[in-house]
Amino acid sequence: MIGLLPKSLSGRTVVILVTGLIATHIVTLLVLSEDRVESLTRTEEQHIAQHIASIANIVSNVPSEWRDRIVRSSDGHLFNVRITQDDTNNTLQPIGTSNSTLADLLLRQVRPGTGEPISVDISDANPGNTPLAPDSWRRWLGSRISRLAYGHDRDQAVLVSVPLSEGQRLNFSTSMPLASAPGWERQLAVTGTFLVIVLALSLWAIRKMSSPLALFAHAATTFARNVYAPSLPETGPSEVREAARAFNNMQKRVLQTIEGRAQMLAAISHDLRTPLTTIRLRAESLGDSEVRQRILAAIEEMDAMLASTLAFAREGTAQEEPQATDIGSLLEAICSDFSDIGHDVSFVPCGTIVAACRPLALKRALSNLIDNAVKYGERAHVVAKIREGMIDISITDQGPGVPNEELERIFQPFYRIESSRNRNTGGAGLGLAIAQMALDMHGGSIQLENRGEAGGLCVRVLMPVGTNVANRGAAPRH
Amino acid sequence: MSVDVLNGHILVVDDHQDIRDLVAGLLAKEGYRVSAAADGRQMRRQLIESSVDLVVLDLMLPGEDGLTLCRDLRATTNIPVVMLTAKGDEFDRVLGLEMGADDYLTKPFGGRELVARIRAVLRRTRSVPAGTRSKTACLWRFDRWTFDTATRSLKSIDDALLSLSTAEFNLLKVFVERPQIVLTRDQLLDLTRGRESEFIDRSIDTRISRLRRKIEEDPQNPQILKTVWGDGYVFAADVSRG
Repeated sequence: MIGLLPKSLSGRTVVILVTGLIATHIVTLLVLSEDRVESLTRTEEQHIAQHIASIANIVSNVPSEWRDRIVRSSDGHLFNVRITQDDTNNTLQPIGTSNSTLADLLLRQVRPGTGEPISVDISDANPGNTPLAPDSWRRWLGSRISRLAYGHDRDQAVLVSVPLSEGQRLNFSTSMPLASAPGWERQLAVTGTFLVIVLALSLWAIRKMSSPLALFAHAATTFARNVYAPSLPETGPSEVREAARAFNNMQKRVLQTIEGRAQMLAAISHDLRTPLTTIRLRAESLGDSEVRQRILAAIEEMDAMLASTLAFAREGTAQEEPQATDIGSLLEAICSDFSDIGHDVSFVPCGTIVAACRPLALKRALSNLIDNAVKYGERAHVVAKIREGMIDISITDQGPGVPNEELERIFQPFYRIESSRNRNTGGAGLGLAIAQMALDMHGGSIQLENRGEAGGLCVRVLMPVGTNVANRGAAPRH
Repeated sequence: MSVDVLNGHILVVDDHQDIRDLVAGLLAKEGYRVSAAADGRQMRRQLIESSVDLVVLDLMLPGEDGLTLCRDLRATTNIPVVMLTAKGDEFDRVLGLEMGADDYLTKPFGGRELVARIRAVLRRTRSVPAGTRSKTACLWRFDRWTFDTATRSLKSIDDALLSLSTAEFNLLKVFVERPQIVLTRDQLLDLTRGRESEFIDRSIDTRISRLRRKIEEDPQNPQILKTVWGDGYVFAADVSRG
């Protein structure tokens, strides 16, 4: 059942609402038309009974020579009155056996001059419509449907015979229209209008109620990329406001945690770097010795580790504003810096590729990747191009590559492949983690690929050209 | 070592006793008169008591932090400031320079580096008459470019940020500080070396041609970085600051 429902919340609600609405409306219509038919029939019967009774009572109480004149003046097109001699209407039922309401009413209102019974016969006006068994549910349903469809049951012929004195009988013949339920056009119009109004209202209401959901989804996505995403507006119905408040509180807590971590690392780094400075200044005064060189090298290594730890802590809370940047010149500058200090880094000029990005964060990320290639793969070859709306940067090296089972894990902070630990390449194992965080922020990704026979590792960086950089304080609002 | 009184009076502000002593000793050996202060309050007192030529200011101080003190100094005096920071983050560098620091050193720094920076800042600030020194001395304009030495970037009119390698940055900085002056290859080598001694020396000509590719409309026919036959190069564009 659920499988048949539409996917969206509003679609589902509309389907459920409309189904329920149509069902209740049909039931209501049936009950109402039943009621209406019943009360209209009762009125009609009362009216006919009264009419017959008053004529019958007058006729039976006046001298017989007046009867003809009264009957003639009462006779009408739809209401026939005749005086007949007895025995002509043998077929008429004695009133005692009739269970019709009309008969009861007549019995109570007509005071016949003789002791003979009044006979009443109610039958279908159209003999073609043979009624089914009276207690059949199908007959009941059939009549209800015909009422809904045509607005009326069959007309009924009413024949009443009241005995008069002197062997005469007063015969009435009329038809009792049971036209009662309104026509189907009206039903349809009413139901249709009803449906349209309810549909429009419910669609509007659902949109209004589900738009906060879309807002939440958007806010969560933005927040995942940028912890400084603006908080949700705490407006709307109380539940929505409550949820927005809860979301904002969560965001605040996460932000506090991240900022706390950054502050803590900054404090540790500061506290370590100050004594490190004193060690360095003292070591420099040692004069040219091997001890001095070793101390300075150790200080340098510690400093590099502190720097990358700090960069990692700060990446998530970067406060850099995004700006249009020439990615080609950025790559060229990074590559020049590496080759200027003697590394084998080549860059294939790619022309101007302009993208909105945070240049310092992106520079750090790309520098880390090229640094890895130089450190573990002897040399880096960098190519950039635009493909299908994405900036596609590949950095290939000549190293041993990365074991396939490590490809996922090496993005984890502080993770280092065993072989790289042994090779004394230094570093804290944060370079890739920092690069990935920076590219996440730019809506991009990093893919690692062993080149197999060709040798070396190929690092591919994909990033949308129209980079939708998670922008502090300026995320789109709905 | 000869003590040159003209070297000037330097105030070292750092809450760390060891750093204060070491830096003071180092600078005294270079011939500077050195005073020390542990925080902002002491710094202000020292500034009132004697005339100071340069302040070496730690970014993280108890009480008022270094950035606030730097902004205050810049607002009330013309004393140049060299910032010391343990954070080593580019944002801090930009922030420090925006607050009016004249230069910036990351801990753990070496003694030679510190002395070289102080000397450079003093030389730079002394050559410019007091009062005309720009408060945010990191923006240069020439041709269609804005050169931001704080973020080390080059911005064109059409607004896309152009990145410079360290070597290109150093070279351009030398040129914008000396427009319309012919600089020989030896001078350029000398002026750009200094800081990044670990850089291998590419020939000046290679660096010039790289820089031309970035800033010249037609690198084959340079209008900004012109070659002076037999002598060297000249930065021919008008440069404005601020």
